[in-house]
Amino acid sequence: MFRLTLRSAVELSLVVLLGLVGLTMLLGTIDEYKAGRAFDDAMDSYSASVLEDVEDYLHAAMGAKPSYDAPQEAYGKTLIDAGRENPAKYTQALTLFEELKRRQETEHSQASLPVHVGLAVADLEAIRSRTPGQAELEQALRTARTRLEDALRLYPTCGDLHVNLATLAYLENNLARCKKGHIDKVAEVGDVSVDALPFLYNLRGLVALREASAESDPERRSRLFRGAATEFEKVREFRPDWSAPYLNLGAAHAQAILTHGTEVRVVERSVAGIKSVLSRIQKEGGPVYARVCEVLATHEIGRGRMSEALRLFKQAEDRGNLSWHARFNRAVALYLSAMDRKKGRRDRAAGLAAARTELTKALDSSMATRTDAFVAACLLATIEEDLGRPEKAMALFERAAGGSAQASDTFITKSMPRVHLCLGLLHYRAKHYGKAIEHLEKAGGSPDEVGVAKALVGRLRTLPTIDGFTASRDRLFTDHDLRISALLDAPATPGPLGPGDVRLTLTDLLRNATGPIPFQLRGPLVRAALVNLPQGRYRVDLRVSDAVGNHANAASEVFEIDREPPRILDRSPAPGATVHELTTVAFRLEDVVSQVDTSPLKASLRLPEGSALTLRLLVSRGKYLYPSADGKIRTGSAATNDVRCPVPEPTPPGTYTVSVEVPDTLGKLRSAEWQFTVAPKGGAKR
Amino acid sequence: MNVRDIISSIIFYAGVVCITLVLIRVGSRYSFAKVHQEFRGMEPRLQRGDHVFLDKGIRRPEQLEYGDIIMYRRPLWKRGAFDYEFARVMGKPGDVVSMSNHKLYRAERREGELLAEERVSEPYLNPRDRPGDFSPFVVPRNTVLVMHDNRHKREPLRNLLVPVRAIRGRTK
Repeated sequence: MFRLTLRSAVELSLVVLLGLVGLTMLLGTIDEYKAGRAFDDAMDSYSASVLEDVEDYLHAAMGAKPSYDAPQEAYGKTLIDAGRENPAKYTQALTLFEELKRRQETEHSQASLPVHVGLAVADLEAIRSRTPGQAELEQALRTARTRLEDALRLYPTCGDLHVNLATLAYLENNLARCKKGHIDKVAEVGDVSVDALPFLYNLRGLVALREASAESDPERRSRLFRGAATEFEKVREFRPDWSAPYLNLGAAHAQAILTHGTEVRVVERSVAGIKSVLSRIQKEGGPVYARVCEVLATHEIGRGRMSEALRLFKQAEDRGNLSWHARFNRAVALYLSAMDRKKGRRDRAAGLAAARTELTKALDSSMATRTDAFVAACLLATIEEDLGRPEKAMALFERAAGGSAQASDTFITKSMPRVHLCLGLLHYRAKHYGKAIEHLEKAGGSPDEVGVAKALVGRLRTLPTIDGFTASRDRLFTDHDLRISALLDAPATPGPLGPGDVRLTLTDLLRNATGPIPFQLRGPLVRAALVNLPQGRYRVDLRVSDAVGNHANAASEVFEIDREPPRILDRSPAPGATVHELTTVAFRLEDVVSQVDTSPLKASLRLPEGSALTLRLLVSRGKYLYPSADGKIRTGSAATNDVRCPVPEPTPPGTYTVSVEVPDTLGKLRSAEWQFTVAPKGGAKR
Repeated sequence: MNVRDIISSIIFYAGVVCITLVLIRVGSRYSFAKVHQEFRGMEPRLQRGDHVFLDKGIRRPEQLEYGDIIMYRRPLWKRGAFDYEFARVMGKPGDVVSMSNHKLYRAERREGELLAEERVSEPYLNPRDRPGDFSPFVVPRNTVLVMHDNRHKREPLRNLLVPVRAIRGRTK
């Protein structure tokens, strides 16, 4: 039970006094507590990009303690952020920061860092939002720079100021100052706010992109692209609500793919990078999304996924005009898609027609590089070939090969053997074997294709051959028949030989006349037969030609058809002639085909009736039996074809008969007789 | 009421006030916290459901040592079933930190000077964890860079930076 006594009254008073003191102290700090709490919440919301809550909390903080500058500075920053949507906010921010500056300079003799930065940024952004002229913009940049440099003198270790100055340098296209003068300084001074970090890394990425674009060394360029992508990734991690890092990241990856199209590792990494941000880019940026889609589509072509590539081209086209190269690549994708074996005939024809139209435009475009023209010509040629127009295909391939003869482009150089292969095969099918060899010898491609090309060249280069050629006399119906046969081989000629490829002739060497022999061609075997040949000395010639124009010749041995015995010519005295005196009987022996065999020659002279000697043998077994008066012929000397038989005395007048028997070397015997008369001048002499 | 009573009253109330002040002081500096049942980031050092003794007086970066485990308020974008979590301090303002080949490197800043980069020895890590790399970046002012002991997944960089205002204390 409480009882009021002096002691309890004193104790109660003391407690009440203490309570009042405590309450007064508590009430004195409650505003500060509330403002601090609200500001903390505002900063948490700002970090989480819950901007509506930020404003509420900041208003609460400013209401709780109007003299508390931090919430007002933060509010100014939120106004600048909101200025991107509503430029009027920049003016509000500018007014707020100017007021804060005046107050702080009055109370503390200098303005805080956020006020300096806020003033510079708000002023610059307010001017930029009006899309100023170049001079006005440069002036605004100079003003902002002056403000920030003034602040830097007050806060020399503040990294945020360097971030802002680096941004100004970037806007002024002064990359050296941006990078060396400010960005590198941030790590050096080390004092930077968490809000400035995403700006810093975005800026570093942009600088790296610019440097990469100007870099000629591929290795270094690749490193710069990777560096830019890394920086943008960092920005994305700090500020996932920003669209800029996604767009920049997409642009960096796209640029890397375009620059390093042949480096699979780099490209795959960049494609993965793009795909991770694609949905965000699709939401944010029309032209960037279109560009990224083009690049991805081109990549999909490289991976052989044509339907995906065409889908991406379609998306890119929906967002804006396709670039020339994208249109070209789409034509390639259309072509490759149409050539897909799974396609139906109708789809294939439609695809090829579309690709043909686009490629024809590309081929004639002034935008086409040498490589583009080369690819377009090759693809068009393939389409023409597919449509059954080999002449056009050849012309286009020739154009590709001719236009690229001096090309130093690696792709063209690598592709040329394949073009030569196509050309070689087309010429081969068109029976232009000379050109086919010329191109096939330069052909390349897969091992199988090279094998085919080599085999074709080998066949075309192989000369035709004639085996087992025989042209021999054979008794088919008569003794003067001829049988001819041969085995022909012409590897260069596709398919069996035709009659036009073979020429079989019979040459009569005596008459110097040549005529064709009808023949029968069955596969590689050529056969012919000649029946009852006239007399003559013959040779059979066989000539086989292949498709390339190479020839093989064969000639038979000379053979003779000899149907008649030796002839007796230039008889003297001539048959039926009358001579005044008889000293010599002469005649000439001749055999048209073979030789006269004079060894069995027999010549005799039957004297007129009533003569003492009726028969006088002049030549026996090829030897003269009487010498000549001039001594040129002696008894027993061998007679030649030009027979001059001395006739010994007496040669009474009357009718003489000369008998000659002579065979040829084949044994055919000629027997001939002729008569002449000897009538001395001035009467008979006995 | 005699003098003796007055003196004994004064001693009594002074004692009450002192004890109250001590309790307030101890309570404001130290407290107990319970590790949330779903929090696995610091296992096995901090098991789920453990009670940890928290030194609430140590919140500022200069008071913290590298490797200290701190309790901090989770950022808004991570808040779900629990509002606080624990992690090790791996970087202080001005340090340049990077992760390369799953190894943490740090260039410390002392008295404004950046020292040479050194690999951070972390024997408490699970060797099978493969945290994602990140390129060097400066730890901003008024923040500390923290990392969990379990690093089987890549944490976005903004999750690694804890504002000083969010730190609730260091575990003992």
